[in-house]
Amino acid sequence: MTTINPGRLNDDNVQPASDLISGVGLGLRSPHINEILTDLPRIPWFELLADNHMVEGGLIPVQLAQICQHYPITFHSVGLSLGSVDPLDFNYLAKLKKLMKSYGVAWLSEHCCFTSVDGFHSHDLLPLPYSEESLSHMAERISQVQDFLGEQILIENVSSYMKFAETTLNESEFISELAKQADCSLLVDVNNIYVNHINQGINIDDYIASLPYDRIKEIHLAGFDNRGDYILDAHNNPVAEPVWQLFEKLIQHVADVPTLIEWDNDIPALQKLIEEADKADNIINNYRAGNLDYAIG
Amino acid sequence: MPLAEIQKSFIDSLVKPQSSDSGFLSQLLTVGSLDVNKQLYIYRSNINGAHQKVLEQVYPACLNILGEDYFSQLCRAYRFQYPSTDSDLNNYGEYFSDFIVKLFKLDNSLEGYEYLPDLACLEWHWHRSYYVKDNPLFDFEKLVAVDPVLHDNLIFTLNDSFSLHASDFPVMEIWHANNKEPGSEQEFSMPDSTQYFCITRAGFFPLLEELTTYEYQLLKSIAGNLALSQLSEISDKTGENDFQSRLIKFIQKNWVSGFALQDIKE
Repeated sequence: MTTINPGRLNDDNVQPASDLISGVGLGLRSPHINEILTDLPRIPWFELLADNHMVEGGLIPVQLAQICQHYPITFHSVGLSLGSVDPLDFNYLAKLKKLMKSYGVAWLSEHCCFTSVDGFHSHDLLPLPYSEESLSHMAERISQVQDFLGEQILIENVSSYMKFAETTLNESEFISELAKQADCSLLVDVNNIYVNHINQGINIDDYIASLPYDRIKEIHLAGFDNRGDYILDAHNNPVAEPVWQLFEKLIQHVADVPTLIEWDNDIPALQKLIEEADKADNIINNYRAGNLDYAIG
Repeated sequence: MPLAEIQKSFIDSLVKPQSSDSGFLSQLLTVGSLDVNKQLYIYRSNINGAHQKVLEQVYPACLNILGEDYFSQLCRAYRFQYPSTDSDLNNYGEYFSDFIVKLFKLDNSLEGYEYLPDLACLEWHWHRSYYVKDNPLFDFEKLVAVDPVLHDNLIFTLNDSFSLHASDFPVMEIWHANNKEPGSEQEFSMPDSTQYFCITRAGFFPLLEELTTYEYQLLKSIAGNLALSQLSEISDKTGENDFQSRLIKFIQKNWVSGFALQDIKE
């Protein structure tokens, strides 16, 4: 059983919180919280949607504190709107920083997109044109966030269903250059790469080959929904076979990077998520054992 | 087109009806099997779905009464009329009751559902009370320390999770029925007089409690920042003689969670 007491994260002589994140974790979702707190299943770490935990009272902060008593956690946010031309929301950032400090959160990840502009919030991950203007704008914003938080954040590639006339760079070029200019880390969502491959025809092999592996600090795996003429990054299904295959290609470069199973809609029993995590673990272990022809059953 | 204009044009296409699409669509290129209209449709559809899901969770009784199809239409219209201006999705849907009131002027099919705005108001506050910040318990030691000469100037404060409600419809019964037995047909008789009730959080979970007319008046006056002396006068005028016991009840239930001293004007 993994039991971590985040209280010791404040001690200068112990590991930094980020060192506690390893192996295949799960995205924590509210239907599973009671079961997790009761049974304390052997799950190495959890990623929490920070936006769902920024409430000031009631049950949610209590549950967050309880989870942190037993598991290391990371934060994933959707509300920073890093690509937006609106000013950064420093109230939101201040809340994030306070929570991260209070609960010994290992790191924060956000998306390469915008979610709001002109004061209107879409609550969806809206893509940017991959242009030099977007690149310098976003790099500057990420730097501001990192300066405010006093630490590096991770930027995730998003699924996109749109092609802008203003786009001049391909996605992997944009992401790689962004990480370099902003000096941030990367969260590579394998399902999003696959979704963009199917919908936009991006070249998967070129994408994987061009990533700056030393900046990748986390990998996401999730399921998509087949809508006929396109596939949607719906996080409502098991990880699909071609996404597992793409994961295998990626881990050949970054086998020690922590991986996470995300499932946000039509959420199944916790055991199903644990089984998905086991599959990812098996693939990683098979690779380490020198067996590239994994079998996930 | 500069990034700022692309973003504003994009968000306009999402928060306004389709008539305003052409400017933004000219910034897109067909990719794979997705033409530019389809690309925008996917985002519209995602956003509609996400916002509707929130409203369904906040307004389960309204959803049950109106049915999925009509409720879905309302969600779509609501999103255009009240686009989200808050990064916190828990705050989305606050104006649904006002929106339904406006809808009565436009849609005859809502005849017979005049209780819906009050029901939506109940559901909003029920939802809200789950998330609001915790208040400390009433500080009796601090109260004892107040000079008795100043007691008339005490102003009590209500718990942040507390909301007061009055309705001429049997909304409490309608709400209970539509939460316990979704889909069931229910008939309700109109109450003889206005129903008064409050919603607050007890422990971690919201609670709905019926109030007497007097309790409602008192709590309404407390919400209006009337001082202790004025609260007492109201009790005298209404012929009620258990003001003190009601005040103790409000404090014990943590509806009243604090106090301040009114500025004394010379």
